[in-house]
Amino acid sequence: MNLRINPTRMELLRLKKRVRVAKRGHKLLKDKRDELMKRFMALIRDVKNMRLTVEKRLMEAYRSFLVARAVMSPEVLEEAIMFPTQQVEISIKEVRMMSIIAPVFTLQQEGAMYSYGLASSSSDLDAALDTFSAVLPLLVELASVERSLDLLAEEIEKTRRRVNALEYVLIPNLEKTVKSIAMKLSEQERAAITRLMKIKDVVRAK
Amino acid sequence: MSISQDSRYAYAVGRIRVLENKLLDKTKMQRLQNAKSVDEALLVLSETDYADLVAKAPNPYDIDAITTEEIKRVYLLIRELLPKEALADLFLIKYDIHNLKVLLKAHYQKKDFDYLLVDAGLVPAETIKSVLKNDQLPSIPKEYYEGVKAAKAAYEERQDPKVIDEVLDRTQTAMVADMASKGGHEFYRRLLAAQVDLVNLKSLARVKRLGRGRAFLDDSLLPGGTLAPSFFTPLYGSDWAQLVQAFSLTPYKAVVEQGVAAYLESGQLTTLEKLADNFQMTMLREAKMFALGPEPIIAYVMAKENEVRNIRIIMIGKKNGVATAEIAERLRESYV
Repeated sequence: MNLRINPTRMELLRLKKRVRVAKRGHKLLKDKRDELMKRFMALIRDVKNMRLTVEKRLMEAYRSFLVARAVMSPEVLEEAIMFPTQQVEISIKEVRMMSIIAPVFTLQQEGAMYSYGLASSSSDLDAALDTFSAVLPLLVELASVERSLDLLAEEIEKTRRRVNALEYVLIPNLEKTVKSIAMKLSEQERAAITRLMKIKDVVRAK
Repeated sequence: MSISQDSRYAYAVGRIRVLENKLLDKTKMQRLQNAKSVDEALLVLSETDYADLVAKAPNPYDIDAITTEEIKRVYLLIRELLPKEALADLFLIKYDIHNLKVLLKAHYQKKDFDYLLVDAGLVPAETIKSVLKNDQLPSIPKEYYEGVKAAKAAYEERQDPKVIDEVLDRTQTAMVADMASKGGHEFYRRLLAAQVDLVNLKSLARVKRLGRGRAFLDDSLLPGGTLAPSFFTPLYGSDWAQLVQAFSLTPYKAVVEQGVAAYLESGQLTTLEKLADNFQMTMLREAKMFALGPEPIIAYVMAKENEVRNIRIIMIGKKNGVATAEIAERLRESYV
């Protein structure tokens, strides 16, 4: 589609400059998209492994907890864990990566984890808490990496849309317009020459 | 105990001997264990003494409600059979101690945990609650009062809720041992001493596994067993082989040997805990030799508590799709 622009030499020069800028931008965005894809693919492999590990550890923790739940009555189990002494704090930092701002969660665990007496509790409860406690930093790290992955995917999508808009819409439109202005200008030039030649003939005939 | 004294239990023992036949034996447990689903397990349960409870339960899948009801029924029966004896009280103290732990922990957190109270003890849960709330401690049994005072002092000094459990667990053991002595229940005292030894053994293994240090173990050990706490403390620093060696001259030799071997193989103390419970069950079976006396009654209550726990393990396992073999690993031996 041609742009609605006056077919002047000035506009032609301006449009040619825009085409150059658009092509340069297109190349840069294409490079950015490729780099984002590269990082995304590397990260997705890590996340997959991490998620599998976390899910496996969580399954173990839930299984131990299930056994503790079966061996201890529900009231005794809940009494054992009703007064937790461990404080967990998550701090968030932001890291800039390829124009996205990704969060990095840092977990801090303070205080004793076993806040119950051993006489009325089962060793399966220790095992469950142990595994839950060990899996928590991994879970927080996974959350951080998965969020980065989400942001990266959004950015890839956005960049892909821009690259396509430049490649299939803006640059062809600009080029078409440049071409049509150039044609119009040469047409005008030819008309002017013809007009001059005609005037010259009229003058000569007199 | 003389024959004339034992004869007080004649009627109760007669009734208990009949009820013992209704306990779930190995075959019934096996059927329950091999059930393919919770529904099938409930059907098996409906063919046993639990039929009434399963039929009347508002939600038959709520196995906790069914087992709690059954155990309450047993305590009521003991009270009915022996109205002048405090035998059932031996088993009820643990509920009061549980309520005291809940209320003290709730008090220090300034939160309401009333849903965790169990109204099955010697003192109604509401009474304990109002007594603690209004600081009228002298109106509950002296041992509870002193236990609460000690637990409060320990918590305020160390700011660790674990000490509330530890102090009150000691109170419970001392109180039950004292009641058993006063009631002349020698059999129960022996059982209790073995139970304390086994709890201490499990605590030792757990603290070693967790690597929590000697002080943690010292706090966790209960007095009143046949082996003094000082027997366990030095074993914290020794390796597992030395631990097995240390128990080689005690009655718990087989429990420790097999339990430690299983731990070294799997990293879990589940087998040790199961073997410890099975050891108690073997002791409990001695009660079958007593024609009269409180022993068969005590054994019946403990057998029922064990049975209820086994049913809970099976049903919770079935409900959550745990493999039959894995359930079997955790089941305790039956009394019959």
